[in-house]
Amino acid sequence: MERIPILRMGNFLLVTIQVDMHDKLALTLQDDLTAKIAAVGAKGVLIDISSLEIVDSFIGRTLANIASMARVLDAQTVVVGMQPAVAITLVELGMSLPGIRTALNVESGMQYLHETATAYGDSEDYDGDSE
Amino acid sequence: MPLAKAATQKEIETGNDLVDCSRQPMDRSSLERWELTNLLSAWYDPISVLGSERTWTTPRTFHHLAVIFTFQQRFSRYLVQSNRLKRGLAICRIGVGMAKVLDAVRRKQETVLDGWLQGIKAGIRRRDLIDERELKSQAAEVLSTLCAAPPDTPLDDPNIAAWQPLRDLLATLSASRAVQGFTPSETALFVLSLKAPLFTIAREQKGESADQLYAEITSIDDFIDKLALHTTDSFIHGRDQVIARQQEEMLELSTPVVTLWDGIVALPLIGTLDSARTQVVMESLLQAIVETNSRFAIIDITGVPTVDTLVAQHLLKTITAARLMGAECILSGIRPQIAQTIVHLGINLEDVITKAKLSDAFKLALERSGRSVTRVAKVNASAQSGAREL
Repeated sequence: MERIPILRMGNFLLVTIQVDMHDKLALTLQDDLTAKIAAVGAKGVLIDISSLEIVDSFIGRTLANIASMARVLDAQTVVVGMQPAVAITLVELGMSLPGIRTALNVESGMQYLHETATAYGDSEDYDGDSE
Repeated sequence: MPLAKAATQKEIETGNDLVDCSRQPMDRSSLERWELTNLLSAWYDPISVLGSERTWTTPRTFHHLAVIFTFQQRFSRYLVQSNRLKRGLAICRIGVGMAKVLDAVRRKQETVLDGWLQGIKAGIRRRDLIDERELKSQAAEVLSTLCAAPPDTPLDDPNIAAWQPLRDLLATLSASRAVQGFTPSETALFVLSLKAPLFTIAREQKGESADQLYAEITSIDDFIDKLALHTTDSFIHGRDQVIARQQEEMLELSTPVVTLWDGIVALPLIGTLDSARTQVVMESLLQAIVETNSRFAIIDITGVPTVDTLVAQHLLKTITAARLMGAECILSGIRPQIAQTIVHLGINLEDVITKAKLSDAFKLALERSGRSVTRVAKVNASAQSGAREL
């Protein structure tokens, strides 16, 4: 069965969608990703959709769901590299995806994840030192 | 019978036969006489003519009606036939006449060209638009194309295949006229001026009756008129194309995306925003964000005269789309009146960063990208003193 690979980079998970998303694939990704976040204890998820050219309301909602679920599991989600056409389509569909953090490319997305993780990590370190 | 005949004849002449008709049978000749006198008026309105003759018995009225209607039928048949005949004759005449004129034009091409050019020059108001030599070469080309048509080509319809080269040439010429800035009437006059020399040629032909000359001149007139109409159509078509191209260019020019700094782009909007323009604005801004890899986009609406709910909705869509791509949008250049309008319309701009001036927005973008602008007074002062020393 076709699956979207989930890569682990330290505390972060990297998902690159290289194929056209269909509904079942999106749901599989949702299951796999939540399982992996819980298993690894990831602090951040980066979803690269720069190769995604076609998007519909279901995919948009699934992305929003994944972000919400990840937040419940204590992980920040960044969606990076959205194509202009995809952005226009989502806006015209009335999906502004308010809960999702976005970035221009993988680099700036990773930078954002590092910043948030460092902020949390520092406080954890501080807590650890004080104990 | 002769008496009765005489009486009826007399009565017909004096118009008193109506009373008699009911009592005495009408003989054939009197009927014919009646027909002749009443036929013309009965032709137009048989019911009123017959209806006024109250004393007539019914069968006779029917008889008269029958006579009139038969006559009408025959007469209309005759009219149809004669019309056909006339048309056929006219076509024959036009064909023969035009061939003659075309032959003559072929022989006297130079004379026609001179006469034509004189007519064109009289009609053109702005001589700076086109060179005289160019005008002459164009006219000569048209004339040679006209003469190049097969000799027996009929002139009554310029849409046939034989005139296709001439029509194409005229279309190209008039389209170029539209680009050059001629008026439609000037362009039409270019063709219409050909009439006078052609009429002269037609008149100079020997051994023609007035009818033939008339037929020739009419057909030439008709032909040139149709060509002129075709030229005007092509002119307008050419001008439409120019207008469409300019509109397209304006649409592209009206949405320039400028890079203010590395990673900061600005889109100064000028003019009213309609949905077509907003689409172009949105696409070009998002494309620019991708190309320049910019984290900040400033939309400046100083030049937008009015902001209604539709425009605001479009702006919000653009901002949301930019945010989805990972860029932050700042709205700037909001004038006091527009701020009032936005609040009165109840448009929610709470989630959007808004600034009054473009400079404020730029400053914010610099700050957020970890930059700051500081005055370097000392360097300036030393540079100035250095300049003075030199």
